[in-house]
This record gives sequence, structure tokens and C-alpha cells, in this order.
Amino acid sequence: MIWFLARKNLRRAASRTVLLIAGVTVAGALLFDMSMLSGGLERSFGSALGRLGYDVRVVLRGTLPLSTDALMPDAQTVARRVAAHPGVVLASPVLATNLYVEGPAGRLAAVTLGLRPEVRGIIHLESGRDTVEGLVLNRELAQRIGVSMGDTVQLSSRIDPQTGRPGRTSTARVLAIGDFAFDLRAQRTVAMPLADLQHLLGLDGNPASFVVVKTRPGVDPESVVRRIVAEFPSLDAFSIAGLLHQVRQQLRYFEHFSTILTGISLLVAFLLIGAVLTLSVGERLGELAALRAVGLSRPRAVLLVLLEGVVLSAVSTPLALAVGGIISRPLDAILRATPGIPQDLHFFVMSPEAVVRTVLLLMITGTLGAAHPAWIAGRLNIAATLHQEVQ
Amino acid sequence: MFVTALLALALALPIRVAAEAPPDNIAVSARTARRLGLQVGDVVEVSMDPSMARARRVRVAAIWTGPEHPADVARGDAQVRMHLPVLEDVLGRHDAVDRVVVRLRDGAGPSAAAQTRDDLRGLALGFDAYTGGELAERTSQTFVVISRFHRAIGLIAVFAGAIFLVTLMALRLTEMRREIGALRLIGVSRTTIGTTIMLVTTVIAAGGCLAGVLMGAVMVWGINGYYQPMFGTTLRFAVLEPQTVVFAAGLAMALGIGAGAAAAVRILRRSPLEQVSR
Amino acid sequence: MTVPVVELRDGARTYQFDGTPVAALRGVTMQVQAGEFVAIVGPSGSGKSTLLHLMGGVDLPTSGEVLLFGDVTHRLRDVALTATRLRRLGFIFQRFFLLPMLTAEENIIIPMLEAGVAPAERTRRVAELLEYVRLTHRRRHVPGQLSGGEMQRVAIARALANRPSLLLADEPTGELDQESGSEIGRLLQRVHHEGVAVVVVTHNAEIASLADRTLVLRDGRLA
Repeated sequence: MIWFLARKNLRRAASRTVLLIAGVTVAGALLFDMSMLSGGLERSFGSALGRLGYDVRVVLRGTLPLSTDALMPDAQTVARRVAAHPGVVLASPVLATNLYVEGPAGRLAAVTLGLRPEVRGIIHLESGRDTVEGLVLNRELAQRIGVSMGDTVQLSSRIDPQTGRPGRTSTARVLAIGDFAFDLRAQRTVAMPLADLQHLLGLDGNPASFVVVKTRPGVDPESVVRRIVAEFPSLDAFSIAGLLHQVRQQLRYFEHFSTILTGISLLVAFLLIGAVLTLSVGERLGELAALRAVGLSRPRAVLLVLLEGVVLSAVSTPLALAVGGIISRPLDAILRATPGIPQDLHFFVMSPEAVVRTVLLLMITGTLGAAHPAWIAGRLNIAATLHQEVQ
Repeated sequence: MFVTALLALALALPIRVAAEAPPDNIAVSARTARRLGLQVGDVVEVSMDPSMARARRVRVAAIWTGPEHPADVARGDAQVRMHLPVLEDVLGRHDAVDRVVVRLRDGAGPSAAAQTRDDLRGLALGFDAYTGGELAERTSQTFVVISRFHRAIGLIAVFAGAIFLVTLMALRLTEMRREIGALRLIGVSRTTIGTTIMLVTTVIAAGGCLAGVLMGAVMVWGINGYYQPMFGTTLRFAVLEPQTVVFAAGLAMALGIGAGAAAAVRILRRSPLEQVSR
Repeated sequence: MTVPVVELRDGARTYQFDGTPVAALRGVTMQVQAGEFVAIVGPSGSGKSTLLHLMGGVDLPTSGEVLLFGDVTHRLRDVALTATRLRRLGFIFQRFFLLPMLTAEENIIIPMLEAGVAPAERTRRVAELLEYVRLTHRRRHVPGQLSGGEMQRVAIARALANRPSLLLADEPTGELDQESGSEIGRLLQRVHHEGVAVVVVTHNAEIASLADRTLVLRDGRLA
């Protein structure tokens, strides 16, 4: 009976109910977006790191991968000793720097990665392979300097500021064009064999920027991290979770923004449902008193109004999820224009947790919003209300 | 004996000087000093190597304060300033810098800076040139993006608020429909009633607007009060400017009055008998 | 000796208005027996509706006792009192208080739904009641589409939904024209003849004349 009456009550003022649902939907959509934003970039980053297939990164103490120009001396030895651990499948040094790459259409600076052949997954080549056995350019660089597979380019480590001519140079054939993980928008990137890059830079002692480590299935990466840190006091090691923890500190702004806006969205939904239902109950006090007089119990009168709040939230929730999903795209596009954000990363990431959180919060808010009007309905004095209604 | 002591001292000093050169002077930011517990006069070591190999002793000669770049606040990096030759020695890299800063003569304006920039670019050397304004714009890109994001969120919030207002105004006027119907039945004109409704709506909108601005001011105070100590900065995270107040108030009034007007039109379109009937 | 369906023993009800006590009912002692038709008359403000509300258990006395089917109302918990109203009592109001978004038959079904009557029985009973009040042809109309007299007949049908032993009517013809009022009076008489005790608060002399007994209330006391 309660469900029957609640439905009928919500349909009796259809335009009001529609407006109410629209309002709760928009507030709920914002709530859903904030749930996706909260930890979204971290999830996206973690997911991208996971797809690369490396579980641990070894860096100079006090740094993060690619955060400094400082080089790890004798990285090859470090990699060999790390690879000797029973839980490790592979450890390989990676050197990151900037080179000038010249083709027919010009010379441009490019982010350069020196990789050994066993390192896979960082680049996806058009040919379908993912190992670096020669020079690989990303599409942006290839287009800008006017080269394609098989062409020859000139590589140089510096340009003389006096003459504008390249310093130490080498030429190489473009083996492949590929997509690089974590490229920024419009970034120019080139990858080449590590030894060739070290030679071009005139580096002795096999230095590298960091070492990537792949652990065996079932091995806890943190145990590998602990062993590396214990064995190499001048180095740090990070599992994916460890890296995300570091990144989390940088992303506090989004967490806090998301929390504040979540609170505001819930407040709007709460006030909207509460205010409208309170006014609605006030309009039909006579009916409620009559229902109480003919035998509707006090708890059921309370339940009737609470149910209206729950139904409003329940109807709005799927709409909120849909609208939130739609508007998250342009919001994500706005934030992805932030300098320094790789083009494959996203700020708004849909997850089961975000959906569950939104559904729960909206349902609870709808119930709480209906609490005060339900209380009014429950505590009304039947006789006094009937008397007043006749006036 | 005194002369002997002096002589000994005089003889000893060069040896001590030869054994330990006085540390170079550096300056650290106030944030760095707080983080590392440094004071003026402290002697510390700096090195490119995390194992502190080939460390160089330096003395904190000054702690600087001043406007911080928000990006620095967010990153929380330690910041040190030292003379270029000292840094070159620490880095083991000489005659190689990231940038060259050019200061023009006093009185040179933005056009002179732009001209100098163009001249430098025209040299076609292995570097590019930017005016201070251009650099500021480039480094502020993140904040432009954030600003755009805030504006988008603001639009959504305004939309939700508009629906809220229309719903409540419509409800409020529905509550008053019998009184409105009764007034019309006794001869009060639509215009009078409409004007009264608009007056009520305006007062409600103004009250809500004032409450909203006050609430916004409290939130600004709360946000700054929370985040300033967290990040150890005097930068303001939220700012309530007069133009923001004017914009928000104007929008709230427009939406509130508009919502009331829409509801009023709907109410007044019905016949008075319809309004008084239950 | 049979238990009266409702009995007041020195029942009184005082309200507080801005801190000032107002005695709406003062020391009323009376009984209504099963199957009896009682009319309560008196000038406006004499406490007639207050007396009816006390009888129906929708209000409690400030002093004295009200016994409803032998139970002292102020000693019953709200749940028990409500259940009594649902299953043993029917209420009719001056303003009808039908739910405007429900059809005539849906309004009648409400008490049956609350009492947990089975669907088949509900369907049978509502058809019977609509026939009883001669509104079968208006079953799917909402109150807004009914006349005052028709609305009150729906309200009577609703009051009879759970086959009460006692029917309380507060000015049932207050908002009706003469003809509709007469029709309501005939309906109430028919209900009474089927063994239901009826108590009517009324200004309508015709309705009052149908009663077995008339109580006159003046200034909160029985004259």
C-alpha cells in the first residue's frame, strides 16, 4: 500500500517530480564525475604502468624515473645484479635524454630513449613488434622532419650556440615508426639501442637514467624492492604501487577538489529533495491526517514519505550515472590539456567503485532528505490537522 | 707567552686554511629552511650524488621569502640558490646553462623587450628567446587549464541551481494558489498579483543571494585556512573578488527572479475558480 | 450486559492557545451502544468535532476516560489505536479527504490494502461497495471529476471498506446541497439498519432526525 501511495503521490504533480528528478540527476552527475576524478589520474597512470609489464623501477636515491638528468653509474652492473634475484625475470637499464634529430624537413629536439633489445612493451611499432633493435621514431617526429621507414636521419647531442651547427653526430636508418607509452601531446620521441646512445653522448661506464625490472608471476614486487634497496644504498626502487603513492602526493589538489564538490553535490541533492518533499507534505497534511484517521499507522506514514525520497533518488541515479558519464568526456578533455600530462592518461576514470559510491551516496541522501518531511508526517496531530483543514 | 701564542696561532692559521677552505655561500628558500631545519650560518653539504660523494661544503648565508609560484608549492621541492661557478663545480659541468637572463636598461618597456627577443631569435643560434611575459604565460598553462575546468564545473553547478530554483519557486507559488485565486475572485487584477509575486520572488532571490555570498566567503576563509598551513604558504587558494561577487549575485538574482516569473505566469494563466478548488 | 462501542466517562479536552487553556470539552459522560444511531448537535464551537475525535481515538482526553470497544484509549499504544480505527471504525469527514490522485475505487481500496485484505476479496468488496453507494459507473473517476455528493459517497464507501462496527461522521453534509445531503442521510440510515453504530456530528436537522438519539452540546458540555 505504501509503495502504491508513494508512486501515486509522485505522479500527481508530474512536472514537479520531473523537475525534482532533473535537479537530483544533475547533482548526482556531478557527484559521479567527482567520484571518477577522485583517484582517476592515479588509476589511469597505474593502469598504463601495468600495461608496460614492468613491476619495479630502480632510480637514483631521492629521485623518481625521468625526474632528473642525473645518471646512475654502471647501470648495466646494477641490472645484472638485480636480474640475479630469484624473483626477477628481467632487469634492463634505460637511458633518457634529448637529442636533435634532422631529416629532410628540418631538425628538431626529441625525447630520446636508449633501450636494450630485451625491453618490450614501451613502444608499439606499426609493424606489430615491440622491441628496439634500431632507430624508432614516433609519428609526430617522423611527420615533422619528413621521414618514413627506411630513411636516414642525423642525430646530434648538442647544437653549437655560436654556429648553430650540430656537435657530435651520427646517422642512422629509421627502422620503424611507433607509438610510445607516456608521450605528451605533440611530443617528439625517438628510441635507439642503449649502447648507440651512450656512444653518441660520449658516456663511459654504462650509465643510465633508471632500470626497469620484471618480476616472476606470483612474486610480491615489494619484496624485490626491499632487496634492491638493501643491496644498493645509493639507489631507490619503486613498485607500481610505490610510484603511485609518490604521484598521489602531487595529485592532492584533485582529491580535495573532488571531496569539496562531492559535498556540495550531496548538499544540493539533500536540500532539493528535503525542501520539495517538505512543501509537498505540507500541501497534503489533510490527506495524511485522514489516512491516519482511517487506520494508517504512524510508522507507515513515515515510511510513505521516506519511500518517496528513496524513489526519487532511485529514479535519478541511473540518469545521473548516464549524464555524469557523458559530461565527464569534455571535462576530461579540458584537464588533459594540462602541460606535462601524457596523452594516454585520463583524469576521469570509470570504475566499479565510483559507480557504487555514487549509487550509495545518492540513495542515502534521498533517504536523509526525506527524513524531515517524514518526521512531519509521522508526528502530525490528527485531530488538530483535521480541524485546521476545515478552517 | 702571549707573543708565543700569537705566533703559534699565526703559524697554525695558514695550515688550517690550507686544510679546509671556507664554505661557499648559498641561499635557501624559507620553505626549504623549514623543511630541513636550516638557519642562517648553518654549514651543509651539497652533491650531485645521492651517496654524497664529492660533496661540497656550503654555508647558508640567507633565507629568502617572497611570492611563491603555485607549481613550486604543489611540488614541494627544496630550492637553493648559489653562485654559478659554485654550481658548475658541484655539477661537474662548465659553460653549460639552461637559460640566459637578459636585463634591459632601466626605462625599457615591453616593446623593447619584444624587439630584443626578436633580435635574439633572428640570430638563428641554437636557442630560443622569450620575454618574461611569454614565459609567465607558458608556465601558467596549468593554471589556465585549471581555470577552464573550474568554469566548466561552475556551469554545471549553475544549471543544477537553476533547476533547484525553478522547482522551489513553482512549489512555493503552488502553495499560495488558493490565496491567489481568492484575491482574483474578489477583483484584484493579474497585474497587481503578478507584481506582488515578483516582489516576493525578488526578496527570496536577494535573501538567497546574500546567504550564498556569505556562504562563499566562509568557504573561501575555510579553504585558505585549511590549505595554507598544509602547504606552508601564504598563497591564497581561493579568492573572493568583487567581480566574482557581482557576477554570482547577478546570476543568482537573474535565475531566482526568472524562475519566479516562469512560475507566476503558469499560476496566473489558470482561472481563479481552478485555483481555489481543492 | 453488552459493552458499549464507545463510552466517555467524565471526558474532557483542553487545548493551549498561546499559553491560554481553552476547554473544548468539559466532563462529558455518555455511551453509544452497538447498532445505535446518535446525532450530536450544538452551536459552532461547542466541542462537537472534539467529542467525535475523542470517540474515534484520533485525539486523547486531557482528563477522564474514553473507552473504545471496551479499551481505554489513552492506555492503548498508538499502534493498537490505529489498528482499531482501521478494522473496527469508519471515519467520514466534512471535507471528504479523498486522495486526489486516486480513482474512486482506489480510494475505497486504501483501508483494505492497509488491512492486508487479499486481492480477490478486495476486488469483490470494492465492487460491492461501489454498488452500495451507487457509483459503479464512476469507479475510474478521480475526485476532481466527481460532484460533492459523489465524493462523500466514495468517502462513505471507504469508511465501510473493512466492515466497521462504528461509523463516525463529522458534518458529512456540511459542503453539500440539500438534495445531496438528503442522499447522504439515506445512506447513513441504510448503514445503521445493517447493524453498524453511527455517530453523526451535524447542523443538518434532517440528518439529526434520522437518529435514535440526539445529544446536544453547549459550551463543551452535554445539555
